[in-house]
Amino acid sequence: ATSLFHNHRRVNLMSLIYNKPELSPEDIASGNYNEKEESDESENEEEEEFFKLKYENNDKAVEIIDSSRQQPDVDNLEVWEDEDTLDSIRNRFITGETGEDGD
Amino acid sequence: MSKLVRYEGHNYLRQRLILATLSGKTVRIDKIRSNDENPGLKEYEASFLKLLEKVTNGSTIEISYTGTSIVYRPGGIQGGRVEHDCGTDRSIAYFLEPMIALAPFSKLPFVLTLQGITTDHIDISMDSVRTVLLPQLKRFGIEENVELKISKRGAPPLGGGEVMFTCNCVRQLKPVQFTEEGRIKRIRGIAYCTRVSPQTANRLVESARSVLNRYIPDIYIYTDVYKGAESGKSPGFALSLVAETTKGALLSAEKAAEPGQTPEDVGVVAARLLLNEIQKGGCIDTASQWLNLLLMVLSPEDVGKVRVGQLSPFTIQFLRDLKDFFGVSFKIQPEESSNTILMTCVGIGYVNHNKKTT
Repeated sequence: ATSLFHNHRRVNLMSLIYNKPELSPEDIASGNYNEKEESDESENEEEEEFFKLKYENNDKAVEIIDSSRQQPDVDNLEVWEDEDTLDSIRNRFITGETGEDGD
Repeated sequence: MSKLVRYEGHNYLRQRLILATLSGKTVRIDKIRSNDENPGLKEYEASFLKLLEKVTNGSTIEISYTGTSIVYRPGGIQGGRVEHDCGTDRSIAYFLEPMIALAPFSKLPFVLTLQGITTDHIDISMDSVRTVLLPQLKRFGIEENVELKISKRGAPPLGGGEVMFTCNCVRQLKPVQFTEEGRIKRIRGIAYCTRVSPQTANRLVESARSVLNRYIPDIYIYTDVYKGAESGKSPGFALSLVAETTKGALLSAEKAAEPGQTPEDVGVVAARLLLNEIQKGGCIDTASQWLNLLLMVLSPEDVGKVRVGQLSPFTIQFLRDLKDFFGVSFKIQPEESSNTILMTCVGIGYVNHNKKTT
């Protein structure tokens, strides 16, 4: 019955999570779920770099750290050296401009 | 649904055992590192099973000769005064997190003493558990005597820390609707250091402030310098940060020092991780998604709603496992405008029959 609630406009996160057990949680979280249809090796490699996939290897023996905390990707933190990125979240603070109060 | 739930592989072991305990279903897990050089359960996993045995009554755990498969038949959640040495493979949080999920539904109030590593760079730190995870229980009506006391710090590799967790049980949870995230009004943090120069804590604070000061003046980071026997066996320092919004949402980030990192490195990384978390938005931060979703499922038969930022892989697997044990699936609505996800479910109306109504 819950499937009736599906949001058809977008990629359906719900069906990815509940109806596609073959997809690994890591793939879903990083938005890497179309890869299996395309099955293009070279493109996979590109995607891997682009999405910073940690567990591309689908081997059963992959050791996933059982922790609720996501392992910080320290390389991605460099975006915060950029002034524009820093300013982009200004509205999330009470000191920021009001007006965009869509939260 | 059947009374037996089966899994393969060693991943996500904790949550499966916890969900089995709460749902009363037997769980069987096969192929635990069956192709590995060191097959079977790791020491910390076995230790977790021992802890689970201590806090429950009448559980049976069968482990195969090679340790590659286990069958867990859960008993009742007993609680009471329990002590456990967590070893030094994983930090205390690995053991404590699942216990937080069990504690409200136990027979006796939890008084749990855990020894080991209080902060490492894999699990969440005790500071974050105290400042972020536990306050969130309040929304679900779990507030009596909920406390975590860090009596000794213990940094990796040798640990030597000690914490005491107490929590009274509840009969039923309150349904939660938490979709307004509000805006951030203050940032708090704890910079701790043990067995290094006390100045280290100040350096952590300074470097984190250099990143965060541009946003908001209300930043206060406590420095917590432990001395003598309370400081554990190894040197270490870490910074944990919490951003609090006008609606009471708590977003957290933290970083513990890894070998070779200066306090400045750690402070800046922690601050940037907090910005990451803020950018994701939502009312629930990544590390506490699982607990909120679990409590929503166990809530009375009413609609529960929370807004989260992005779902972490851990949470996605948790959602799947929740469905396996409780048959509850969430309605997951991504919202493009704010780039957040609205999670909705109807609770199963879990009642703790050990607790009399007052």
